[in-house]
Amino acid sequence: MAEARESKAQFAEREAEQKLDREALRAIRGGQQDAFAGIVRRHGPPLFRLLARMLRDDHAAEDLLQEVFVKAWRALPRFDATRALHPWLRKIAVNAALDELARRKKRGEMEDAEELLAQIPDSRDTGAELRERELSEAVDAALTTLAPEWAVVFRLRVQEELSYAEIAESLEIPIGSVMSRLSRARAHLASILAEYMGPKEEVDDARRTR
Amino acid sequence: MHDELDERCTRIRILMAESRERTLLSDEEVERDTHLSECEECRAAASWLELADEMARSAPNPSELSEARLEFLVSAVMDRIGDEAPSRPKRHGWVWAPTFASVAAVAVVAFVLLRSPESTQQMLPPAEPVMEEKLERLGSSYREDSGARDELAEIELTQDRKLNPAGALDKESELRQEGSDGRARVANEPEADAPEANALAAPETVDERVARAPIKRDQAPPTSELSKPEPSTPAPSASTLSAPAEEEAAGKSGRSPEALTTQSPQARGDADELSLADEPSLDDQLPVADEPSLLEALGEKEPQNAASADSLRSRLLTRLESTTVPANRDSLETALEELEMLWPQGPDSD
Repeated sequence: MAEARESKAQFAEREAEQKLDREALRAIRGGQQDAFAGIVRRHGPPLFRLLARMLRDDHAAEDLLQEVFVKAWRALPRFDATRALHPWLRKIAVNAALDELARRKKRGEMEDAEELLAQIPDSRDTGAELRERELSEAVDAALTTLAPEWAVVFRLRVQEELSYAEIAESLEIPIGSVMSRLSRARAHLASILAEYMGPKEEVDDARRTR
Repeated sequence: MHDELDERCTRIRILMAESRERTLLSDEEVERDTHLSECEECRAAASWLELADEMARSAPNPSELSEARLEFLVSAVMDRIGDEAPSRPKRHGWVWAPTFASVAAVAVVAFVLLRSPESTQQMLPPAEPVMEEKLERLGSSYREDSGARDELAEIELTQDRKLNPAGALDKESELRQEGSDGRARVANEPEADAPEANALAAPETVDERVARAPIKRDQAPPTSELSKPEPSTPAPSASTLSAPAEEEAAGKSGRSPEALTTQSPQARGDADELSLADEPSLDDQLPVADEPSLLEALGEKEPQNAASADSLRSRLLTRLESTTVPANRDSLETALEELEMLWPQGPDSD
């Protein structure tokens, strides 16, 4: 019941947001350039979170978000105004983030996955308490060791809670590819966590002793 | 690490990951359970599958975009698109405008140069085509109207025969030699001995003027002038005289309009008075057979025998003696001459 009410509220919120987007697009096409500021205000924060998770760098995410909106502005004449704006902006943001990760890898600026994982406290060695935040950081660090195409599917599914169809639309890939990449990403993540953090039961024991 | 996993471990871990999104088949569940009972590493990985999702979901956001940072982002984005919006079309214009301009200029020059002279001539406005065509039509129609010229020649000849029998014979022979080309004939005799011959040259003048018309069309006479009475006609009927002419003649002679028919300059032999304005139009040319004689114009019938001729001669002489008006006297004298030609007075009559 509570879930139904929440989904209804989310639906209403999404509808209101789309209505504002349509009005802004009409105004922009009517020559009111300032209406684009409203779009940036509405869609900036969620896109920033996504970019910050993918890049693991707030400043880089902020810079990249600026580029995302400028690209969107240039491509706005080609946008189908009958569709929702946010998935279109998210697709631009994801592609921009993947391009940025590829550039980093090419420049050798990628975080060393081994070093990153080595920083994860090993409960077996230290016996220290694993706090929720540390565990989350460990998972996030493990994600960086995945191929970006796999990691982004995992983030969009688990962190952004998108459906397969939405992920497929954002990445412009078939739904079957979404499912395949998601399974491989999870399996790989589980393997990394098991490798560096030991069996889940030990972690659970550590969490319980917090 | 994972590279060292055999294909079976990889397949079972993916199968376990898929179990979070879909219900596994019974065969897949049996395969998974069998493998997990044998492989300790895969059991450890399986325990992290659920936790990884949970930890990833509950992972704290890197940092929320603060209100100040959001406003900064908005202003930065608006500045950039504000810089771009006007410059985009301007850049495009700078890039393409010279190209379009040069292509258009080349196209115009090529169009003008490659256009054929005929079509270029067609582009120019015609040089007064209407007047040219009119005058050309007028000249050609007159030149081509050989019948009219023949008629005119016959009229001239008849008049000559009446006024100057000797000269008329010469002219008739010339006319036969020249055929129907009246224009050439008239051109060959611009100067006539008798004053009457000058009057007969009027059609020639009309012809020449029509031929000249395309060159000096402003000098073309108005139709009213061309339709004036035939100068060579001995006695034009009253109907051929226009009303102003009749009034003018009446004012001079003091006679009735009917009697004015005798006051025409032709009847007086005053051909020298004919001017270019007196040129007759072809429409006004009367057939010779229809021409009233001078005697008829004077109210006398043409004598049918010598006796009636003598009677008429005596009447004319009486009228000649009684009149003092020079014009009337001229007419009567001319009529007497005509009568003499037709019915010569015998020696005994004197």
